[in-house]
Amino acid sequence: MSEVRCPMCGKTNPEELENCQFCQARLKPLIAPSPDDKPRRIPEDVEKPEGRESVEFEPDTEIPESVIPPSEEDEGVPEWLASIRTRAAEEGFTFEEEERAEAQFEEGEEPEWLTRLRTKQGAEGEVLVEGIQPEEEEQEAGYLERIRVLRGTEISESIEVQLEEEKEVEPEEESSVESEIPEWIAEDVDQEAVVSEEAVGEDYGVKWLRGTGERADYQISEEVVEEELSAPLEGTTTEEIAVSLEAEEEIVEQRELPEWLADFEEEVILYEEEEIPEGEVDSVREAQEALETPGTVREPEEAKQAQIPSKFSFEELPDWLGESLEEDVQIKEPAEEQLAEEEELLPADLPTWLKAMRPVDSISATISDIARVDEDVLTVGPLAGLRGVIPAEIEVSKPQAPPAYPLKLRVSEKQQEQAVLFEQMIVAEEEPKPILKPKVGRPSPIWRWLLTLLLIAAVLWPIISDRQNISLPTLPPAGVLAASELISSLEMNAKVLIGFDYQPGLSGELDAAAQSAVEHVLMRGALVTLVSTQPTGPALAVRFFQDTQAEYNYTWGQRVVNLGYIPGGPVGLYNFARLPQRAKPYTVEGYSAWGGEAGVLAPLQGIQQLSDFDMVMVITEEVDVARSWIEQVQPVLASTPLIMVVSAQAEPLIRPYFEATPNQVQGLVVGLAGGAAFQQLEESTGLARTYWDSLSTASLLAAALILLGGLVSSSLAIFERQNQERRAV
Amino acid sequence: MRRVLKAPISTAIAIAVGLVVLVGYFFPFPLLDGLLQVALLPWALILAAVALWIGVLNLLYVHWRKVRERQKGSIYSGVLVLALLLTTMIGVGLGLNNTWAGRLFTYVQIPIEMSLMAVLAVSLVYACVRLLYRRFNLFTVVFALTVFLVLLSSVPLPFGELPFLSDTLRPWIAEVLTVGGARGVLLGVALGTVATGLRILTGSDRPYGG
Repeated sequence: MSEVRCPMCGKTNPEELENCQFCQARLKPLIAPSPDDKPRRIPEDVEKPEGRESVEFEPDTEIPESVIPPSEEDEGVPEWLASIRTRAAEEGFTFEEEERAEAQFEEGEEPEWLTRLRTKQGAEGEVLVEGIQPEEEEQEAGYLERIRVLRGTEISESIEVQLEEEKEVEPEEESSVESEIPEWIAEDVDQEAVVSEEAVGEDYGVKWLRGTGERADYQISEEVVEEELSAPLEGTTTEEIAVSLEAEEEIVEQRELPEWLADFEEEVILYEEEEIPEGEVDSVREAQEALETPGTVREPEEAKQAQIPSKFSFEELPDWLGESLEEDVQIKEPAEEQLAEEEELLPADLPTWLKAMRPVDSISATISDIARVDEDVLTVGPLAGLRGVIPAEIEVSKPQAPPAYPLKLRVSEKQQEQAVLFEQMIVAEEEPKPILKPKVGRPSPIWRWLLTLLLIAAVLWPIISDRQNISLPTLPPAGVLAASELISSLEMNAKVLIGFDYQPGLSGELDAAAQSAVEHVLMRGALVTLVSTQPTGPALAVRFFQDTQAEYNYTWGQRVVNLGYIPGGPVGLYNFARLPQRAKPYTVEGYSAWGGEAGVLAPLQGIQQLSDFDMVMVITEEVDVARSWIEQVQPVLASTPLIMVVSAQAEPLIRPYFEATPNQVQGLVVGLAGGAAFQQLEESTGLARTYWDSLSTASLLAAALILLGGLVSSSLAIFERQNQERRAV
Repeated sequence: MRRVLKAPISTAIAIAVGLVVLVGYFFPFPLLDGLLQVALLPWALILAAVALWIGVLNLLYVHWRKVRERQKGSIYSGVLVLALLLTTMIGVGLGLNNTWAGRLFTYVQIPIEMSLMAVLAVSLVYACVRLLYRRFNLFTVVFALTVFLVLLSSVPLPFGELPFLSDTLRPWIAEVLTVGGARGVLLGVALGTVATGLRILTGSDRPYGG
């Protein structure tokens, strides 16, 4: 059981169904079917070659009326066609001629025109061939060649091969001629074998008709053709052939041809003269190839016009036919003049069946038809190849490149100005604003030098003038008082450990601060041992004693021992506090401090630990050093008092140890003021007294400069700030 | 917390020594005290002394290389090398009690350092004056006013002591405000020292490397 594929949905249906059982689309065309006209089945395995569009059979638009048998025509004639015929009959148009030709064709009789032609050219073909004179043979050969070129008539490939071998004409010309042979002839040979031998075999003038015969007829006629073509072409050159072709054309023009053939020739000439745009050449070629494929049916314009009299209006035709014709008419408007000429030249005696069979469709298809074919043909899906079908997939679902939109905006001048203004605003915002650094006036060297000179003068003036007008502190501080009491409590030959842990730069302050205290110790007849945790400490100690205590006639190694530098900072102090003999076995001079040939030095006799000393005094300006003494040494001192002589800058951090209860520092002398107070307390003279006036004068001047300068600076700052605020406002 | 000890031996030694010293502070065991006094402390002192020598030699090498390569400022390096060698020769050869050593110390080193301190005094006065111009705000005013009052009250003035400043304001500033702040600083230092010691004892902080 055969099946028919629905042209709409692509599903298979039984052959007897008229409508698709799935989509209810009509499977059979609306026109009256002929006995041989069966629904076309599209083989599933057939794939359309890429890049090549084929036009499928469209039964509802293009089937010529002439191919429908008369017997069934009456039964299947639609109303519109019947009305057309009726009107044609009323206006005198009859189909008798066509019917008669078809009848003759069916009965095997020759048509009248063919008989007339046969009579004119000779009844027998062989006689014609033999009886042709040399001149006539040349003319005949040229004529045949010309006709073959113009018509694109195909002589079978075997004949062409033989012709090439025998005639040995220029291959280019032969190949060009061969390429122009349409394929429809060869296809017609297979498809239509109804033409009789008598109708086609012996007529040279209608050579293309011979192609419609059977292969056996070809074999018969090939011999004749060979004889025709070989004789005149032997020994001729290309130029001679060209000259003969020109002469042949004149003869052909004069030769009486069948009217239909003359009309057809004019059509070919018109078609060849029609200019085809270069861009449409490919589409034309593809359309021609598509038209040449089996199953494609093209209706020549002449056939349409013959079937539909011009007198009929489109209103009487069915919509689909009318629209199609209207489109054709509209598309072919530019060629109206050409069509008018063709209408004048159209013969009326051409048989309809011959019109339907002749290959005019391959050359009469206009560019507009080809373009329309290209536009409407469906290229994908089961309906590929059909024209005028609603596409199965919508355009948006097809993968395609995104549309390119122009980047340039269409804006008015005002909008453009606003955009420019907005861009300027954005750019202004993006620009980094420079950070306004506050104006820092460089210190004036004049003021610096003036300030320096004033301070130097204030310091030097009391020294130069040797005036000590400023009185010493009348009330000594508590630390000085405690230190004085502790020193005063020392017995004769008491052992005192003094640590010189200050820098040479602060020796001016600390020498004056410690002078009175050390002097008081020496006055008490104590034996002094000197150590230092600073590398410069031992030298400072020597200098201190040489400068300030020279009057006491001390001898190094006898009443004063310099053990030198204790390395290791706090660890060294800890070690020295635990084991002074191991920590410092030698003096600065290199003598054994704890038991050499001379025995133990007097200041160190009986000293095993630091707690064996009667008093420990530390002279320092550094807080860390003072703390190291307090933290590492004071715990092992037991009842031995610790007196601190510190600079003024270290007082705030050392005073807590003195004021604590129990205090870790039993006496505290702070700076030059402390030294002066101690000196005042002891009623002695010394560096503190010498420096006191200078210190007082310089401190007063410094305070005055700070006050005056501060007032001026504050006024300037306030004034400048107000100016800035005014500028900002 | 993942800790990787790159030098476990040195870390173990540091932790062990720290624990011994710390325990020796709280528990005066003879064994610990003897170990501390006999072994650990001398080692530390020797290392400190050697470190001082290494520092001096490094200083000499660096500046000697500058002189030899004639780098920029090599003349100052040359002066430094000469001064170092001269001081060393005098101190080691003649001793600290020598007159030349005292003169060198009295006329070279002490004046230089004291000059620096003098320049510092002038600079501080000038900076205090300009401070009110550059950063005029409440704190600068308080700072400058405090300096002014302490200067006036620290030393006896030519016209005698100011009654309120010398006996009331200055002691209050020096013994209350300053000492209060100093005690806070000392407490912070003590806590920092404890924290540093604990970090070293636990191996979290390894100033010896590893």
